[in-house]
Amino acid sequence: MLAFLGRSFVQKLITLFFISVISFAVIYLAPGEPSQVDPLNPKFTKEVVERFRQQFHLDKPLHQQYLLFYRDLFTGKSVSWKDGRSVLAKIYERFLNSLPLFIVGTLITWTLSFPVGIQAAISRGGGYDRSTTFLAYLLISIPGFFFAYILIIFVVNTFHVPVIGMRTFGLSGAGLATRMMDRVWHLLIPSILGATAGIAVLSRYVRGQMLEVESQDYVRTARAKGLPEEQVHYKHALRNALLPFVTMFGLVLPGLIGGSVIIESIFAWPGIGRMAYEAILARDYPVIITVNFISAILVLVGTFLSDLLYMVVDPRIKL
Amino acid sequence: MQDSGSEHTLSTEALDLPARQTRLQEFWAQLRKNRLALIGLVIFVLFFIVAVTGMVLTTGTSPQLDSSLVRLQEKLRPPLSRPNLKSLQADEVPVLGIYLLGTDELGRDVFARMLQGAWVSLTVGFVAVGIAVLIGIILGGLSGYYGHSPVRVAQVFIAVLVVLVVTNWSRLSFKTLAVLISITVALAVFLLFSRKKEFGGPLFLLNTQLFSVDMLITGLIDIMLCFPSFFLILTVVALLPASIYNIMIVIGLTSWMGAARFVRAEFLSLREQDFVTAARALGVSDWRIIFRHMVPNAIAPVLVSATIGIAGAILTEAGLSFLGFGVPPPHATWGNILSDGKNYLFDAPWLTIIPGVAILVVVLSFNLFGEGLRDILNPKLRERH
Amino acid sequence: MTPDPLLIVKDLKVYFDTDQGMAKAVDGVSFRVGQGETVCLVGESGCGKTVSALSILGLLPQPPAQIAGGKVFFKGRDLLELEQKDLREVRGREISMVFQEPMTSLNPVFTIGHQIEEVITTHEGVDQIESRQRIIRLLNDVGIASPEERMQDYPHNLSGGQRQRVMIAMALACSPELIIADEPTTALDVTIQAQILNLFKELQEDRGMAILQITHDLSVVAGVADRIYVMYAGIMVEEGSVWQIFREPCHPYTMGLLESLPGRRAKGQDLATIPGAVPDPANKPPGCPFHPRCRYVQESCRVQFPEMCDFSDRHLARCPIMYAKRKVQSA
Repeated sequence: MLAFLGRSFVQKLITLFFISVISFAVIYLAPGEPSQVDPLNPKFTKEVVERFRQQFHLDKPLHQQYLLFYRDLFTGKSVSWKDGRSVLAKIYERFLNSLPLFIVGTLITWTLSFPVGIQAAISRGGGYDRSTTFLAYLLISIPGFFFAYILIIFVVNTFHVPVIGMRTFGLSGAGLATRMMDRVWHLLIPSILGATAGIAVLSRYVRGQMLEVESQDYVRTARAKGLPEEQVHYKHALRNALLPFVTMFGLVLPGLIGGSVIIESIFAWPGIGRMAYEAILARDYPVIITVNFISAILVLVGTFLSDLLYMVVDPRIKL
Repeated sequence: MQDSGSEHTLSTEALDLPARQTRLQEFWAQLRKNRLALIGLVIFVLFFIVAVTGMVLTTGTSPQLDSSLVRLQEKLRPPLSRPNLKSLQADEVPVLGIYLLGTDELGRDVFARMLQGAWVSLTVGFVAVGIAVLIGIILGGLSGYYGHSPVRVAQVFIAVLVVLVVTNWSRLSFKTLAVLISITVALAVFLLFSRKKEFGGPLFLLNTQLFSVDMLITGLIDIMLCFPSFFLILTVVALLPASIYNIMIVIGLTSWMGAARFVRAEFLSLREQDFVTAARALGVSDWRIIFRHMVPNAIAPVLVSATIGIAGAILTEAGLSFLGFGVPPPHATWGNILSDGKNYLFDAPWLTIIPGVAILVVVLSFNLFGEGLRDILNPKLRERH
Repeated sequence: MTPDPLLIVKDLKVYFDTDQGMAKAVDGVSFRVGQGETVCLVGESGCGKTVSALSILGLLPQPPAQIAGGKVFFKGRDLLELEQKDLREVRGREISMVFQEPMTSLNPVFTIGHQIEEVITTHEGVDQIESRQRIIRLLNDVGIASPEERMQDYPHNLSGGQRQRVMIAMALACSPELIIADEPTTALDVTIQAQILNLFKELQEDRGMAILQITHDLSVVAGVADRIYVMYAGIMVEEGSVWQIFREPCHPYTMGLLESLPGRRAKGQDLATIPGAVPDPANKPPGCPFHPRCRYVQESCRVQFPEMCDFSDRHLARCPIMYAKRKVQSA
């Protein structure tokens, strides 16, 4: 068990090193020498390139650049070009804003996907299965921003509530209940939108897992023992089908950043995804590179967590 | 059993061979049972035709607009409205004599722009996925076929030295460069000879293996999977000059991991099968084995992931366009028609709804067809239905 | 032999809807199992013996399978007509099954104690202490050492033979009158096979339940069976007592099976095999399904489906050709 953990940890460390190298290498996509400023690329003026050289120590040898880059990052020396604040502090602040959106979205995804996927697998080939299958494909295929606009028009027209931003301004005089409901509406719509693709993918995956397990010998054994169908499905099959999902719990972490760019932009939600988008618009390179690096680390931490969780739930790995 | 996989590739291209006809018929019979996949295929073909006719019917990338109209209300016209024939040149009249899908905020014919956009979306999807599949097949194939081959210390040194030299070309003095290059050459020579001879002492260290090719490539896949793909694409596209080619290349370079994994898994299991062993025993060259025997067998899952990948690429392009980093004007894509239209959401809802629904339908058809293809090409799954 | 058999399977037909058409996996199979008897269903893999066994308890997934006809009487009730709820009462309590693959037939995420306990608590209202004692006794009976500790184990802690013992303990838990054992020893080592077969024998002597053994291995049959049914391509080709079948097999297929047993031939001689392969159940040959592989084949075999012929006392075989031959010989 410890050996397994140790191996996983070392592996993750090696991956981490390469992730840091790649994140760092991204800055090389920008032109390196002021003389090489591409006249066709209006994003790079001479001043920008000069600033670039200084911030990323481009005049030093490569390995020093790499080390200096991460030293600056972790000591808070690496600052946003836009407002001069430390990149890490900035990200942390926005991260806290994104957190409720992420938690509600994940909760919606997981609580909906499982019943839907399991039910579809049990009634395989039936009407419920077919319609949820089609619905899942529909949700996967719909462009997120298009769906967002449809949903905004619908909600605004039907319930007459504002949904853009984190809260409605000028409500401070209103009662507590009104303010609470205001926050809930503002939180709910983007969360649902963020969850749609996840629900579609996860419920398909749950269905596949469930079907896989339902064809196993031990499910037949359970039936041969005379157990009621509910016990066969929800105890013997489900417990086995759930195993891989426990590990997926670690993998929701990266959704914190990656999935939220478009939705946070549409809803003007001051979260990490919107910050990243704004950074790209403002060519705030230290922020852009750091966000990439941190989200890759989140994935790595997520996979490590899922290794850990797997050990807890699967009796075969225990030692 | 021997050619159980090659049928899939051949069945699509070898229409005229009677021996393969039955395979195609079988495929067709399977497809007809899967109604969703069939609908997907029909829409897919329609989309293809639309995209090609769009190239022919419309005037390339130049916008079709009525320059006599000045005010916004005049320019934004709902679907099925008649154009002002007096002010239009002969070649500016929309295809069917009416603005089938209305006009946009510049008075451009949305139908014509949608046709152009179909072509661009299709190109982006196919080229991006083509790049991804190519990388996937090469890396996945290398990893699956040569997976056990060791990577030796000397080879790693060479790689590091080459990277150092190339990246620091202008910063290092002539002397250091010369030293670095000569060390690299010396190592290369050493590698050439070390295959024949046993080296003792410290030189032996250079020849020890560090890891295998397979570990290298799967490691690379894992690393690439760590990056949030959409944001990485956004970053790279934002750093590079805006162009449709950059978008295709970047989407391709960040989405090859799935294909590589499939090909690797397929190759690993094919390697052990009798017909490959037999071919190897007959002295058939590695390249021939890979391209004549293994790639055709491994192509089925790649085809599936490619179909679904095209859907993903179209969505990604639309997302990029929406954020303002997509295909730059004057190219029309469904993504930038939509993102331009969002400013007139209430005055001209068709500008949002038409491209939105179009993207939805096309992406849906690719997804449905891809899933159907997966079911058909995977006999194990077929039994379950 | 008891006059009233425990299980009577009559003209059972199970079809599968496949891409190639309707596969008649079981096409009119009849057999009976008397109280306390051991009956063997023998045949090559794919002949429909497992499908027959599974359909007795309604364990075949439908679709793709469908019961196209026949009756399965257990103690006078037709199991095929029963409601799901009543059928569940029968499963595990009156008829239980032991499957071929002990490696995959136990649920990997529950302890073996729990899996046995489930059978007891589902069918009998028994409190925890009593069921625990019963589990320990059962595990003891099937030859698992220190059952108190082992019942906390997960299946992956046990060897294949031990898992099969657990499966048997699970089958015995509610003292059923019939145990259907579907190739219980095929996946095991030869030495373990003998142990498991002996275990079945001992248990039967102690408890007196009937056993329906399903196997492709005639050598397994010889030691344990009271009565043998030989299946081929979804039909019954011969039935009789062990003595009858081994002494004077009447169907050419049974003869071929017996000849292919090692030890039947002199040393140095090649083992006999039956030429050809089992027909595809979706398109069986017309007439007698065995005729393409039969060395006594005659013109009539290719067109006419053969009748069961009564060779001697309850020894039947589906081969009019051999019947005629024997008649001539004995006359």
